[in-house]
Amino acid sequence: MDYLISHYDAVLECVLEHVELTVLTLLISFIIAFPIGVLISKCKIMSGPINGIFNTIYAIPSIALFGFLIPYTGIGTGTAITAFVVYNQYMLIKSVEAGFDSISPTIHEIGKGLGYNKLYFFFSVELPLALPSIVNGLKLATIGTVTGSTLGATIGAGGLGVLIFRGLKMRHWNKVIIGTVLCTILAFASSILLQAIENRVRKRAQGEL
Amino acid sequence: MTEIAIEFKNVRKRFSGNEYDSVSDVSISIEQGSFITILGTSGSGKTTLLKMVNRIHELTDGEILYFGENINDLNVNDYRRKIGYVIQQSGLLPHKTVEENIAIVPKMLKWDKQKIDNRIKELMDLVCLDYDTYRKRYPRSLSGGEQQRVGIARALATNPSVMLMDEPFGAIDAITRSVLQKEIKSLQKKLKNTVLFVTHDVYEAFLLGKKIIVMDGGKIQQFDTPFNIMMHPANDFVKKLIFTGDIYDKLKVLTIDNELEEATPEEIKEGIRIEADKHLNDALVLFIKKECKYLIVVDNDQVLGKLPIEKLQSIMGK
Repeated sequence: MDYLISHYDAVLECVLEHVELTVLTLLISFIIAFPIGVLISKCKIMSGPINGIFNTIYAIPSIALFGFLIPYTGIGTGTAITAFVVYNQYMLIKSVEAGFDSISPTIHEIGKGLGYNKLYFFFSVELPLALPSIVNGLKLATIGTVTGSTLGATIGAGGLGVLIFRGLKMRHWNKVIIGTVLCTILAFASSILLQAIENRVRKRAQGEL
Repeated sequence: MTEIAIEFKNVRKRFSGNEYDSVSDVSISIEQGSFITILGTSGSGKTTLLKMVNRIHELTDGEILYFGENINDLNVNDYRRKIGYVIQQSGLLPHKTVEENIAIVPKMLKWDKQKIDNRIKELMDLVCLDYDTYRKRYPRSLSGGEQQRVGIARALATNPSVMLMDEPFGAIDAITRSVLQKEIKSLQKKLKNTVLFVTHDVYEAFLLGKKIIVMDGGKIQQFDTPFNIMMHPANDFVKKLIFTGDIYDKLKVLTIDNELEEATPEEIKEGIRIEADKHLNDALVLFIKKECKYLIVVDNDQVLGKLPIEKLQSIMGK
């Protein structure tokens, strides 16, 4: 506790850096995963290969992936973000795909029958119905990124990982504990928040709100 | 002469990958304002035939005309918005309320809000759903019958001249179904739109159809009035399909306004009267109750002719 009070500024900076890292990672991940997920849901032939590729990447240990990326992206935040963006694809693409797959053929048929144009149908019908699954994927990816990105500290990315790894090196256990606890709190908080959003969009999609 | 709403010209459909035609040799004209039922077993091509009309399935050969225009020449979405479409599982959008579901097509057509609201109220009255109770509810909280009412209201939103219905009452309990059957029949009478109604239920096809298309193996076996199909089945398939051992069942599905005889003024004056849209079983009951030899068939006080008891006997004997 003393450490937290005396180094309040430094800890806060780590937390903010961590949040920034996570949000940025998720944003980029989602921007890439969403169109891919939609694409493979509409074009089933591509679903197998694309899921296969990201599934394989997902299985690579993060330290190994860092090592692989450093020659290209150098040491620092960029590499950490790149690595986690690549990791997140597996979960996010799958959840986007599953969300759109869950829409029954009946809905598609009636959409045609009513004379919806494709783009309007996508945004006013498909997206709201797919959203629960997408937010669920986003939630899992967020938890993964919040906890996982502590490893980014090993290659010079900022965040709570810095606190934890420095603490470990210096055998300064308070630092380690504070870093870990804050990281857990962040993960918990974001999970609770996203769960609430997921519940809301699910109710919306099922017509309970 | 009545206008032709839908005309099929040598229509054929083969789904890609199939080695047989799902529908073939279909050339018929559907008159505007008629209630046509399409009857057949599963795999007979009846649903495919229906879904070619609003281009859910694109035809392989031939052409379909909508009031004389080839449907492939029309903008597909504009055209579909002109056609009412009701399917078996109601197809309501689960995340939209009853009124939002009904308003889908009017909104696409950019009606103003007041017009849409008025129309929603009108339609909900039409399908017997209380406006205030139901308009804000979601499909999930409605029974199957209520959902189908909303589905019908939605299809009627822009008062389309053609309605396509694909086994709309297939998944609904028997009691609700018979209520809905009566309602859709009187609704069509009131609105005078053209309805194509797919069903596998022989009774339903006879009850609702002004004319019936009997389909099997992708081909039309017979396209005629219920009376003619019952009395003069075109082939063995039709005979088998409509065969029912129960004579009373037969009478129940046939309306009495077929092959009537001329009535003398005296008969008209004295005879017991019966409405033209009643069924032959109602006539039978009257014959027994009143111990008469003939009935005078009327349509809103206008005498159409007389139904002698011998006619009923000959139908029952068939």
